[in-house]
Amino acid sequence: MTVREEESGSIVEQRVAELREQRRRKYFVRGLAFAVASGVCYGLYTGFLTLAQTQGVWGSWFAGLEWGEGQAALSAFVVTFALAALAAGLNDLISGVWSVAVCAKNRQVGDLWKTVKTKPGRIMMLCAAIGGPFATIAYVVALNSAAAAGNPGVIVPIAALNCAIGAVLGRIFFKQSLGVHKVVGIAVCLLAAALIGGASFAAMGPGAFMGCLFAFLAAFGWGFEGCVAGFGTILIDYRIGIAIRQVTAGLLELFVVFPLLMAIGGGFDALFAVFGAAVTSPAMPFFLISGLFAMPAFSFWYKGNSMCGTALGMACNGMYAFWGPFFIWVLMGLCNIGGMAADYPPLSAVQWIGALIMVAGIFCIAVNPAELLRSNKKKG
Amino acid sequence: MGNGLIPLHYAIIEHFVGGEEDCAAGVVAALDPDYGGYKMLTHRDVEEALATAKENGILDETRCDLDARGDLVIYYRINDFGKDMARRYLG
Repeated sequence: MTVREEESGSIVEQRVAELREQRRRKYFVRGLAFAVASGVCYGLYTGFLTLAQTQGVWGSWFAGLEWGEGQAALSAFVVTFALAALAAGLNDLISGVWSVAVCAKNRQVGDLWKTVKTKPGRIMMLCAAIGGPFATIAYVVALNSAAAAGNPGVIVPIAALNCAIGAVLGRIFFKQSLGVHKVVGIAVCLLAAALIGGASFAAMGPGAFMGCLFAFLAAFGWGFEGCVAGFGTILIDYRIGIAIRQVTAGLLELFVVFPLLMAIGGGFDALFAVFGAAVTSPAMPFFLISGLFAMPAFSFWYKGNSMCGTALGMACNGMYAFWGPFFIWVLMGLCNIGGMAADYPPLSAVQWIGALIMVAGIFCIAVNPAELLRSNKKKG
Repeated sequence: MGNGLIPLHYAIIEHFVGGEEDCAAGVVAALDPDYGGYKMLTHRDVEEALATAKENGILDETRCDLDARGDLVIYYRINDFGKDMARRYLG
């Protein structure tokens, strides 16, 4: 080989290395964008779902008033648990319809149907059952127990443990890396979630303890879902994955969990009347919007997890601990949709600080400080 | 719908199960006769699917090259973990 050939070979090698690094960075940023967007959409869907539950007949139900044409007020159990399943079911099923529409637009309905009948499709349905009805209802029970004990904020960091649980499961099941900097970053995110939720562990009564227990079950459900379904999107296109997830969760919540909870709460006779009143109430347009945002909230979560690993993906999604209260304030406080602005004051300085700390935690998971120092030294 | 083909993303992984190395353009060309009508069989989508499979330990990157237009081409090959996954979930 001549000197000139050797030189041109080394220029090509250098160019390939540069392009390879550019491609790697672009892929990483795209994965991060998906994961961050999932948290924002999660906040938007939470905001519209909260708003929906203040409209029309929902307002009467939660205020413990008579509803419809002189129907007796619903029992406390039905209001607390069955209505949560109804709201989650409506949101998830509508989100499922949006997701199937997206698949139809992309001519993926055939693949969607075939995937449902395969093993990865069935695993995705299992994830939906664990992350949907199981974790969501555990979360509602947790929220109500802790709120009744006068300490609702305490469950926020516990539920946010889903990020840590997902990362550990990702390490065990799929051999994903879990360096010291990731563990530190996750701990920082948990601290930030505690700040945003206004947690106080000082006065832990038995009610709050039960809340924490159920919040942990919710965290485990979501951790399992994020890790397994995230990995599943290597084999399943994320648009197909989310259609399976939302339709399964919505059907289970609406047609299994909601009737079951109505029966337990002694309101089975009013089952069809409650369902009918819900789907014909003025709240439905808001459920349509919450379902629309729930679609990217979950599909980007899966996609982000598969592109940048469960630890980082879940931490970015975990920013919903901030985006949730933020969009509830924007929609119901700032924009006064629903006419109850006084009940939704701006976020406190501590909550904003908590969000900044969370970003620092995410940065710590995403970038290994030791490697950053090494590369800076090289450049220097 | 009833075309007897497995879902496109399964086909992308299955393409590597034989053990040969390939790049996104190669995968698109190999699947085109059967999946040519699929809107999602694009170079960009396949490239991302391969990068994600690599990120999750299913495929290994074997080498990089430049094509005639000077664009980067990345070649991948399935590893033992990937083969095991394909056998257990797609087989």
